[in-house]
Amino acid sequence: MGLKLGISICDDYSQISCFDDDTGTVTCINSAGSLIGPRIQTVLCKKKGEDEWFIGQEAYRLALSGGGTMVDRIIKLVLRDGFATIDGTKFSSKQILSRYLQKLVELAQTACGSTEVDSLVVTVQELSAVLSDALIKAAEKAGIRRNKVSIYSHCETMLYYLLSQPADIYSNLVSVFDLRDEGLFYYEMKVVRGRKPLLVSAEHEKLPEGFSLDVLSSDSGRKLGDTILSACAERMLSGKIVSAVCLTGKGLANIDFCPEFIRYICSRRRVFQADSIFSDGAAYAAADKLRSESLYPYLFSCEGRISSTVSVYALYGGRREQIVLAMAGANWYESKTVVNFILDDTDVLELSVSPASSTHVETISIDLKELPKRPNKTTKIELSVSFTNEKTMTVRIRDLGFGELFPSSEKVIRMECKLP
Amino acid sequence: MGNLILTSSKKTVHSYYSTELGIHLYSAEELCYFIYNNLMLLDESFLDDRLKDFIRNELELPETADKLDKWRDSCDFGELLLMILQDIHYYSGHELMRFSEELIRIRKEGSESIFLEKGDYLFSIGKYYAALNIYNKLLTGRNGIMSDRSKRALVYEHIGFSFARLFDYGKALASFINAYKNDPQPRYRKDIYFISRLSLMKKEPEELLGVPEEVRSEWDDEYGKAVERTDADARVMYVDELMSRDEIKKQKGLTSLAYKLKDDYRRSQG
Repeated sequence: MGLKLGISICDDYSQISCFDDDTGTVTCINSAGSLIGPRIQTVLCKKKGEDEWFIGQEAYRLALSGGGTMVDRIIKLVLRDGFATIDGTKFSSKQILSRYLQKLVELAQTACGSTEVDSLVVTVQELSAVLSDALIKAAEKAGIRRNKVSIYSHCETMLYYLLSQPADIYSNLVSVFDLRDEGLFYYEMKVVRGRKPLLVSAEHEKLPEGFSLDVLSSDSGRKLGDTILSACAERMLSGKIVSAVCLTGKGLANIDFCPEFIRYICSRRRVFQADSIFSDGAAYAAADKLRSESLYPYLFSCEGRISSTVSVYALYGGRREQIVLAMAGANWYESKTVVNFILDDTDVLELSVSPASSTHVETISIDLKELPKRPNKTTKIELSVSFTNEKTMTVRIRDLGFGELFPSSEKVIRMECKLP
Repeated sequence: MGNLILTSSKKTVHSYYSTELGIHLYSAEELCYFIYNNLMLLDESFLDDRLKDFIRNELELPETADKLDKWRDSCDFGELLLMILQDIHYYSGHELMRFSEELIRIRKEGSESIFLEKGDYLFSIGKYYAALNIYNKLLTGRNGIMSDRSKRALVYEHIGFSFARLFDYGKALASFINAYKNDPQPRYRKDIYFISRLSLMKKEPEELLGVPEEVRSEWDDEYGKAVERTDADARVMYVDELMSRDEIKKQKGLTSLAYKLKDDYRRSQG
């Protein structure tokens, strides 16, 4: 049986988790390859004069000893389509990401003693098409086929992690504080009951009070950190019924510095630390993708998931049916639908948009008058629906004509729609 | 209210070639459209094994193909066509009703008028030789249907039009003369006059003797307008426009036009 891996990549550090089929749990893998510790610095170093690459601590060590050139902030580099010159050679950001991911996968393969990867979910703080494309290609270069790879947001994988915990954890709101070099992040998850399937929504924000972890190296800094965290907790949790608070991130791996904060969040709530919540969640998701029936029968509403169901009414087998083009709760990056229709006495395409969180239905009308005039029922169109983020849908309509009777004009109508 | 019809995105591997129209059909919807709009062209030979193979294997409608086999002896040709249309769901109930009515009309009306209609349909889609075959069958057929001289004249006129479209002006003239002989109507004289002018005949046929000057003048006006319409024809204008392009584009355009004309010619043969 192959590996089910979850990898979280951020600019400061990465984490790898592997799902264990026997126990149904996940284990985090560290850079030394043993199954104990969580964080691998997101840096890549090439040994001078040789085609040998290192990541994490080893990369730092090599760079500090002057034995190689190191690249950091790899995610930002990809997002701005940059490059780096290493050992006299120019490498594109995608090549660097590819090398880095390959090393991470190798690390997991060595630690778990298996080279086969059945499913890989890579999770990033914020999803974008550019980053997702680059990660998919990087995984392909690492020898993992495209259909085995998914890219999720931290929000999504957090949901997988929390929903894999005992149900009393998420009987009400669950708050997650993530303190890391990149800032202080707050996540909130709630299960909306009384509908089928149950709706699980998650939101997150980067709190402006975030501080550098270097501050925690002094007594006064630690006190300041505690004060900041307490103020944030009060602001974010007051007036809410929170059943559990989860602490994660390098900054909260040790909570000795923030007694006030801990005292506040522990009042009438369950509090727990989870060092690798995002990569663990990604590993749970990777395993779930292989199941014929998901263990998470919820409608996910969060960053990375489509917020509304988009459908169109059409005749099928002589009956008027609702054809779903995009399902609320589906991962936007993986959602692409292509359907062919024949226009019957209409030059308008009407899409129904139903937000997951309400019963209100909106209609998006797309004018098809630009298509060539032909006898009725002799214009076939290809309708494709894809997404550039969870709220932005791109609709593309291509004239297919009607065989040799009415050849295609190749006309294409494009429209970008904002979903509620 | 308008609708969308959901269709399969799958493209057939092997198309169905319609010998009647000289085109390939690639989908169930195209087949329906072809049947619905070309009923006049079709006869029992249409429901052959080639069509059934296409329906069974390419359109993946084995049940429809089986039904065609099963009901072949007990249903008439029209009912079998209707069965295909019903199974594919491309046409609405209302449209299928209209199709049934058309089948009933064809059945009710005598073979003479249906044959003439079929000939005219073939003419309208540019299949002049096929149209001529039908017209000639009407004149010489076993039924001897053309006892009515005015109807014979009409058929001769249509034969004349077909020959004119095939640039065989001599035969066209002979047909118009036959039409006039069968039914001495002024319209047939006008046909004779037009074809004489078109073929630049030096000597006018005797059927035109005695046509008053004012009538000739009217016909001349009409002829002039017809020539003007031809000059303004999109295809003629396209050729003019092609000739003004640079050598490469001109050559490319003329080659593609030549292919199109060849294709039209091949279709007209048949």
